[in-house]
Amino acid sequence: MKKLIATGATILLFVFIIQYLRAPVPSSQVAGEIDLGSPSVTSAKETATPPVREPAASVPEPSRPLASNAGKTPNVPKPADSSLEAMGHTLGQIGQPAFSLKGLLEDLQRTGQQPLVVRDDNPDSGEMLIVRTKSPLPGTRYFHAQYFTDESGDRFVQHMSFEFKPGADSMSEAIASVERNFAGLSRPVVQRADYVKWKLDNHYIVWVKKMAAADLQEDPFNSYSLSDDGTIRVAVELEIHGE
Amino acid sequence: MFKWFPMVVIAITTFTNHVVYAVDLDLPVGVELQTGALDYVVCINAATLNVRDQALAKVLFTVAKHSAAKPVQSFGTDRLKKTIDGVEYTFIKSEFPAVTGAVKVGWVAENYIVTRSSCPGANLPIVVAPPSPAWTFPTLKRPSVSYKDGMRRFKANRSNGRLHAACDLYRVTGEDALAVTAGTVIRDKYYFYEGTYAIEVKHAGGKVARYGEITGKTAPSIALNKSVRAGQTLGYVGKVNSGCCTPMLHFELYSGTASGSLSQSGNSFQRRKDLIDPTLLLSGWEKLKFGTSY
Repeated sequence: MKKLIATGATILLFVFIIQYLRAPVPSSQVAGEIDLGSPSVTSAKETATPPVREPAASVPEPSRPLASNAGKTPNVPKPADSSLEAMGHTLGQIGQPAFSLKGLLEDLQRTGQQPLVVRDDNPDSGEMLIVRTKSPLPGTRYFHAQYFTDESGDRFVQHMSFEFKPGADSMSEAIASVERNFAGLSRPVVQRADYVKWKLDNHYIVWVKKMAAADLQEDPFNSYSLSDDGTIRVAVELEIHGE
Repeated sequence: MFKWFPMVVIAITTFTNHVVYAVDLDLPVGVELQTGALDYVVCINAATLNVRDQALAKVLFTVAKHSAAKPVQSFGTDRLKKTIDGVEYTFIKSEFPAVTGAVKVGWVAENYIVTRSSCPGANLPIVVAPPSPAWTFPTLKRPSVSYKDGMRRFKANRSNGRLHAACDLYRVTGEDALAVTAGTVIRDKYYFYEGTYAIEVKHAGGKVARYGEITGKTAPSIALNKSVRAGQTLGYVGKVNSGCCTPMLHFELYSGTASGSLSQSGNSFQRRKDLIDPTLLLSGWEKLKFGTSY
């Protein structure tokens, strides 16, 4: 009898060990290993040439999905578009009920982007929180999220966007990233060479725009130069009009 | 000792009013919190700030205290460190739109660029508009089609059971969008919809209006907390990326009896409960201004 119990216990222990080894790594453990961001600060003394504007091709190899996406993304992004993929994933969480402001900030911190919150409130039209990042992932920039607060006190996203570097394939890469990161995406409701828009099921839209010089003028938050023509913006917003 | 620690943190952060760490927002530790609009200025004790080249060796130009600044991001690293007089500074790249010379972009110590509200003495005082009996239609010319019909009208059906919360006043891109009466800008431009912006104004009498789908161009003398008079240009009619519609001013009006964000979830308009139908008011202002109405 004792031998039988000992054998059973051994089998159970063996099964448990196998299950443990096969289980996905908890996100909290993965988080500490991943650094998608480039060094956010560069010593002036160390650089022979100005370090500004690194090409995305020289992005440090992130090779793994964001922590919150770990264990469920079958297609590991290539280094050149890993930043785009990470930001696409951030925007793609908009439809998930658990996607909170705190979760967003933690994701941005985890990827080394140094989020900053600006709280703009007044007694007549309430609070708007703006989230920006100080150290965007290479090849991306100007992350911008606007949160409003509903009558029950819950914050919700009204607008969230980022920009991706100009390039011959940038538009198609951004479109592909949206298609990968937004679950259950239907066909675009607008599809032009420079603009694609999808409707989501939850009063939001998502769009990708190849920005022309005229689109980059007069932005109240972002600074642009002539070389920025062709910059890609990816945005999620509450819908106002239908098509 | 430890039970006093949170109060000490609150006291310190309240006192500094700049780069505070979240106390009441439940932000993750280390996330920087600033207050006010996303409107950066040069914040220094001296009269001017040196703006340097990329090597941080040469001063390109100087900017005055409280000048507007726009931090630049350029798809790569935009932060440098340099030790000056034994103190290590982090430098960031910024544009200074008010500079008159050809070069408007350079490198400055990060600590000296903060939101206007976080900079003592830089905040614009709130100017409450005097009561005004004057009300006017918010576009320069009559809308090209009626705002009482079709998808333009208030309460028109949208997808997923949502109802249209505004009247859409079709005009032409770049034409002035006007204040319907005197008021104060309570929220300066923010991203609204498909490449357009919105601005919010509290009007005399307590009504709050959202002027949506305008361009990013700033109208003269329009900024947060600035007062406006009836008919003053607030912004310029914009056009959404999709080209779904004629350029328009998307006009929303609220009685001012509720509080909180104008956009909401949980009702068919997805708007605050004091949203009002502006159609009759617009019609009256239209007749007054143009002698006729739709």
